[in-house]
Amino acid sequence: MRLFLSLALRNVFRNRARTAVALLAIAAGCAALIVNGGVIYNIFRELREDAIHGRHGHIQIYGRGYSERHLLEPGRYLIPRADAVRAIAAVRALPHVVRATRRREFSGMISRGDRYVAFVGVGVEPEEDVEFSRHTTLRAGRGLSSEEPFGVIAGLGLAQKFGGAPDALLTLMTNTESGALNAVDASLRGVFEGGLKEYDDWTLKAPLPAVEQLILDDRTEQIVLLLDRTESVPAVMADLDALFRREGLDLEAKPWTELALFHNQVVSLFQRELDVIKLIISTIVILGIANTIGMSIVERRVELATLRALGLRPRIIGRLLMTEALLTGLIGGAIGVVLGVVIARAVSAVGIPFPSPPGATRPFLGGVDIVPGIVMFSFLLSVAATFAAAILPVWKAVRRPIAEALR
Amino acid sequence: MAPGPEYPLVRLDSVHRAYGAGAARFVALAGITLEIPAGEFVAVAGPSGSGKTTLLNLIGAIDFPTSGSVAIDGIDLTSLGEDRRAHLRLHRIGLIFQQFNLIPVLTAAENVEFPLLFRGGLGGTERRRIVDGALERVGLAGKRKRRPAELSGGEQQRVAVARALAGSPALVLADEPTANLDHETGAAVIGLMRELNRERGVTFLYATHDPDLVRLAARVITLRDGRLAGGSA
Repeated sequence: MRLFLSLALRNVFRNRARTAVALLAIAAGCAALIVNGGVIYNIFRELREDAIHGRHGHIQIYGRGYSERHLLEPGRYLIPRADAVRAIAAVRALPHVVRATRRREFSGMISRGDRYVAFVGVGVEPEEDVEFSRHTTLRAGRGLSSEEPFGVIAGLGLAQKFGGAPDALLTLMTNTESGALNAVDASLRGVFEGGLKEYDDWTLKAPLPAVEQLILDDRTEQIVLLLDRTESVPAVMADLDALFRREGLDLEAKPWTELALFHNQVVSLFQRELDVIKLIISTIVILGIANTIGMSIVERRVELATLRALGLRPRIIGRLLMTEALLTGLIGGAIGVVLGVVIARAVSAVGIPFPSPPGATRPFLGGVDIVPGIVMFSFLLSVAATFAAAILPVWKAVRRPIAEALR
Repeated sequence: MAPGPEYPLVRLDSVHRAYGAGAARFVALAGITLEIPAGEFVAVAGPSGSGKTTLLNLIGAIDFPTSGSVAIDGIDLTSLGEDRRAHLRLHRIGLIFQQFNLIPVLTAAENVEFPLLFRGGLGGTERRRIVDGALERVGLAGKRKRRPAELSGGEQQRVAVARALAGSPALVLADEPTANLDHETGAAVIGLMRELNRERGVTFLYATHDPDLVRLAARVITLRDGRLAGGSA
């Protein structure tokens, strides 16, 4: 069938000006899908990395039952210090695990002068936490240091509430598990921005030793893991499950995807938007190409009728025309892929200044990610749209009476 | 679809063909009955609008009579579905058109070869042998790689003759095959068809309104206003 394919290919380029317009339409649609998808994926990635490196890590480990019931019985699912140390040592030995650190959340009041402000505290290991806070921006002062156990950092919104600037002296107050009121004096080392307004309005980070002295408890609430790549999460989740059973650790693990609710909501919203854009672009390509293919078929009316008169069955004529449409789609899609990748690289080189997303605090310089899945999908959608566009004109062409078409 | 020897190659029985309806109704053929035995060289003569093209279209299984029957080898074409009609055209009928109707993006050889692709049972070597033989027979062996636009009108029509004959049809229908050629070239094309008729026993039926070309036929069917003139069948 070399001649059959050769004829189809030659027919595609028979009217070069019209073919160029058709290919441009398909390529533009394909490139638009690649670029639009790449921009949205870039935003997803920014949000994802914000969630992972600013707040949640890749995976969090708790005492078994914590996720379901810790609000009802806050103390019951905390991990004893010895177990936490043993678990961290075992977890760090797993493939893909780069960092593992302890955290303890608590809540209390900041007293500064005549101001009393509620906060949500996070006790962290300062040196380890640096890697978990790559997407946290220090707006003023310095970060946490184990050399200053009572030096804390506050979210931008929280610091504004109590009027704090670096080196300000604060008193942190909380209730211990037994219900007693306890307080420690601390100094504000710095002010950070984590990217999420709600987080920045309430969060205070402090070294774990200070927190343990404040709450009079050295148990760990969560062990947070950082992996070599986000894609390693499923593999490590499986390893953790086996590790807990093997080591007899009564622990549970949750991936970041189950913790980053804001990220999930935004992704869900944008995914819908992406679907609508795909539909719109596909419709534009189909309408544009249907017209071009229709014109091409009308012009070749006599030729197609001749082939039928010579004995070619309607379905062979249909196959020829659909092959031409397929080739047009493949060529247009391939051009679209090249065009899309070139545009993506050019735009990424310049950068797109985005305002802060809904609920977030920081604008960011985005780009266009070249995502193989999106590129492949855009290419296939372009081919499919071109193929679909040809169906009606081809169906009409092969049903036309031969004698009428020959006149 | 094996030919029945007891039947003429072509038989039309009370064939009517009308187009349109009401006041716009136009009768192209009105009650044609005729037979054409295998091996004849027949001219269909008549002025423009007399029904020559309609008659050839009906015999060529590319149009349907309004009433009456058209049979090839005793098989009533009106009883066949589109696929079987296409099969009949591919295997039993060769067509030559006034405008040559070659595929412009294919070379002369490819134009001749293309319909053979769909006959089944012919390998590439066999197809090439048939194509080369057909082009050689019409005197275009040296121009097999030329596209239609690179050939003269007479050469294009000879490619069309080669294409019609490559499938070894029993019947070749040529609708005004010389209308777009000068008189001398037209006569040469008809002469070629006549030679092929004698050599291979292929039945030729060609429409023309040129009296000189009519005279080259062994038999003449004359149409006037959709009817046979003077009982020429």
